[in-house]
Amino acid sequence: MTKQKTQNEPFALKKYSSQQLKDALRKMYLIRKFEEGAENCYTRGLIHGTMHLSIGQETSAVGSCMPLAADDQITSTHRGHGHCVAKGADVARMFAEFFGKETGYCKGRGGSMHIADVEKGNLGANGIVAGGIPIAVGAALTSKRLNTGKVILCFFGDGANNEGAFHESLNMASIWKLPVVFICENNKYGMSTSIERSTSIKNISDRAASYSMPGVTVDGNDFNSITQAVDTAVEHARNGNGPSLIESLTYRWRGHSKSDRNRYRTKEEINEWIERDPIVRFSSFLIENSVLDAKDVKEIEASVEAEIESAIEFARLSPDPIMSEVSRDVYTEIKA
Amino acid sequence: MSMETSALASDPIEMSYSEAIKDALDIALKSDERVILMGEDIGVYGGAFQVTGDLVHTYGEERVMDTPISELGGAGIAVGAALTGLRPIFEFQFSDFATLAMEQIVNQAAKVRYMLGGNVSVPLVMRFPAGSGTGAAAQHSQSLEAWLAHVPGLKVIQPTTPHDAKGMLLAAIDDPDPVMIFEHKLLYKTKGMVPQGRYTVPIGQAHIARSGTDITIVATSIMVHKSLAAAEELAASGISAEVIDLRTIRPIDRDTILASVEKTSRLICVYEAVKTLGIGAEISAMVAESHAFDFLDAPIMRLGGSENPIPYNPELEKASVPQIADIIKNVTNLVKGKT
Amino acid sequence: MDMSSGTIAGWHKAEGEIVAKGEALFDIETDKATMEVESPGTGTLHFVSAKNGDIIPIGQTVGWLFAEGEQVVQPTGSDGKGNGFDTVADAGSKTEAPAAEKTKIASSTAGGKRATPLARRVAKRLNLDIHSINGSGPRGRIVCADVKEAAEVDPPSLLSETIKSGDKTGAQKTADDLGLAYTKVPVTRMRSVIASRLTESKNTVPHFYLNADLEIDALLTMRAQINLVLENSGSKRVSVNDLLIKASAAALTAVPEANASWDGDNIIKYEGAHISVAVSVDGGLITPVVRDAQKKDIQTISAEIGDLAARAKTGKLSSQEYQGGSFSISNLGMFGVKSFTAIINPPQSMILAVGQGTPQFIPDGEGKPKVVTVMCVTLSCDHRVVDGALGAVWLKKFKELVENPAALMLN
Repeated sequence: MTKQKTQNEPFALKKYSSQQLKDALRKMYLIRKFEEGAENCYTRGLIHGTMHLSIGQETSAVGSCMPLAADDQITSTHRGHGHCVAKGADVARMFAEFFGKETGYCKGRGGSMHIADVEKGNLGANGIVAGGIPIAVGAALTSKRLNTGKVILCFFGDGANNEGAFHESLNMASIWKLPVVFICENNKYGMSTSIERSTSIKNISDRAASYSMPGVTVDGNDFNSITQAVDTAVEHARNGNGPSLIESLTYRWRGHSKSDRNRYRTKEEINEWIERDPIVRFSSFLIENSVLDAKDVKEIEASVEAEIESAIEFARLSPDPIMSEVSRDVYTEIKA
Repeated sequence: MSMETSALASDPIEMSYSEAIKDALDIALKSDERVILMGEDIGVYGGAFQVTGDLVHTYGEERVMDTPISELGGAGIAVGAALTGLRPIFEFQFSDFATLAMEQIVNQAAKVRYMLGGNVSVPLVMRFPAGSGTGAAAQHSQSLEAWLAHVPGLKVIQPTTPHDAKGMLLAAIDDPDPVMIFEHKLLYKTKGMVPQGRYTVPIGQAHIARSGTDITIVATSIMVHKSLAAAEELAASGISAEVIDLRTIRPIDRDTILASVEKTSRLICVYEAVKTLGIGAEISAMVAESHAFDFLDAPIMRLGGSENPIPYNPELEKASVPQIADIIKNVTNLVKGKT
Repeated sequence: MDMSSGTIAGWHKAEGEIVAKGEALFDIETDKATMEVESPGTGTLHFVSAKNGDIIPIGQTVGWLFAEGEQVVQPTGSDGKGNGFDTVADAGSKTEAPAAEKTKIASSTAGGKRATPLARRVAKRLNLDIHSINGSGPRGRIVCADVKEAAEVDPPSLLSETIKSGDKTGAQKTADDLGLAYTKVPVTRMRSVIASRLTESKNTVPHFYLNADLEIDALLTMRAQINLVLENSGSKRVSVNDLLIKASAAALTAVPEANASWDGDNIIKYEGAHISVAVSVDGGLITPVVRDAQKKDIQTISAEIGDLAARAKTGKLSSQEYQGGSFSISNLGMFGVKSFTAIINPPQSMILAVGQGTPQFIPDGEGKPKVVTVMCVTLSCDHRVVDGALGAVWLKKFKELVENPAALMLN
């Protein structure tokens, strides 16, 4: 497997080793299989409530997290399973959380919408649209104040870009030059409302100008594009130059939640996007560039399937929380 | 992180409530580099109620941060900062503006620890100048502490004296969980003896401001002062009132209240916030549910704000909240068995 | 027993007759005895609806009293809303309840009487019928001050049971007949309750008695040593009785079957040794309880008894403090009594009567006389719960502990 070094060499090949790229592909598969597994468990009644699946958005999540260091942090959204896996979470503990078990990341208290993996830098998914945006800016404030060098990635969707909190947060991140990268995963719909009907400008990244920060729109389903854009923004932030806004264009195959009947979009549109599966696109890219071959891809798929299966088993066998501990961990016990 | 060894509290001096708060902020900023202040006009302007004063000159704009008028975003930034290692103290210009930040206070700050299975803490302090009496009318005069006290995950305090304002604020800054402090505007200029140096007054402990035997008055904030004045007058007519300064609204110091009611057999709650569905309702029910019920010799009463937004006209404004005369009248009726 | 109904056993007044408040109106028969029901007010009796032999549920109206000048019209409801008084088959207020059992007083609020929780509590403690008190509060509400005013200046009674009126012995009649000089002292509430409870106990509990002589020199020496330490530290001294209480508790812990009460279908075996200590007060006797004495050290027991006794004498005990004992001890040694037998305090099943310790000659190992201090104790037992052997085992254990008091330091 030789890498050609040319001027026009794709960013990903220049920046990352083969192993890193293989890992990236594996992560995308892990997200895909995780989502499908969660969906399946839900249908079988093993997971209750609802879930907001990110099938079709895997490349955006993995590509965005590629440039991050291990101790950089992210905040995520209600559609946060992909971000969680991309930041290195253990799918077994994620399933355990969705099954409401004590072994889950949040000890069964948070569920899908509040999944978090603080040790790996994931400050949490959020049930409130734009709820995590000011929090990400706060984390960036801490980084700057305490000089830790961390950069914070703030994920949100197109729906969030009309919330007051979005505007207040971008404004303050800008005036204080905080090390945060705002990533708007624009999948064209805020629940059932299309971006055309909700947002007064065509490109969300144009909003960056209002807050005096760099803004760019990229194809979030193209690994090279998204990872390069985020990489630039992360460097920008790490060098003390403040925030950026990246609009990552992508698409969710499933409805907003489990109650969505997809009345606001056509089957044709959905199928069109399914045919342009970003994972297939990435694996083809890797095969074309001799990073791996079709057999490797099959092996990755199989390995991921096995991991998901054992993760679900782990969750199934894990203990339920103790009912009398329902009010535990509301407040912090001060250990004398 | 640098921590100066703090001198033990010593030699009280007289200072105002707002000076005491500033003193606490100064001590915190000096001893812990994780502490930062955030709020509107708290820098060179010195704060809307002149609490922060010249702190920005000592600690700089990076630690005494003027925010734009963005309560929601600002509160959320404070949450994120607290979540990741800072100890922010966020000042709302008026407690009424808490409404703009409710999402971050109630859905995020109060709940993140629980939702994440106890893996994180949010050591956040928020300060709210509150209450009526300055002619600022409906949108700048509210007492909303009961709203926040209704939310598990928050702690809510209302210090009454300069001594407690300083000590409880320092305790709040030390506290690993979000603490909401409601400071009555009319208390800012009141004076009292305050020890110098660092000390704390525990959160969750009520204070018996005046001992008595005929009735227990549980009061908050400025109503403690009115109750004490009323108690003085009542003593002259032979009624001995015990005044409890609640100080902390969540968690309520149940034991102190119950012991007092057992002793006196009568209870009246006095608070400025709208009477219905407020702190008095909680205290009344708490007592009625407890063993202290068997010691009651009269119905439990509440005195609180009337059912209207705070009016502009000064007499109407006064008529909207309990006054000393109201306390005297209601206590007298209770003790004399007329209620 | 909860009285839920009674049988009309005879009317003292007839339809149309005028009745004065407090006069006997009719008799009612319960499981235990026939009792008089007094008239709750003054008026003319009309619409009597229950006759002799009728079984009436508690709370049901049996007749109406009409005040002077009132129109005699049959009232429609029996809910006290008519203008007359309800005469209700109520076995609560002025009639005896069987000892150690709660009686449900008919909860009719005749005349709209309401009382504060504190008023009820104090009334119960002072053994007063709340319904007979006038309320000075709004809407006739009875408050604590009303209850205190209605009560006599008496220390609180032993129990919440009410007392039987009557029980005359004919002493006055005989004295009158013979022309003997006497002073008539009305029986206080406390005296009444003592009378009824102990009569009941003597009449219904199958008592038997065990005596033992205890050599208490070792105990006295230990007490002296303890008190030396206490005095040096400025603390209060402990008494012999304090030590006997500790020993009783230890003996009850060692012989738990004796720490029990008869309860009809069951025997209630207590987990803790709750020692009732007889304290003489003005006009009678009270037995405050040292709760869980097995867990307490001698100093604590001594202090508690001191406090309880002091408050008993000034009438400041709460009902929880003189109820719920599992064993009693009564000491008359300080009066020079050599030995005595005590009456069991129901529902307990034992009481220990302690006499004076006096020096006596007893043979030593070689048959030579030696002087020891001997104290005679008598254990009264309720044979329903404690058989002879069990009582003896307990007494033996008690004796062992008292004569080898170092064991009291262990748990």
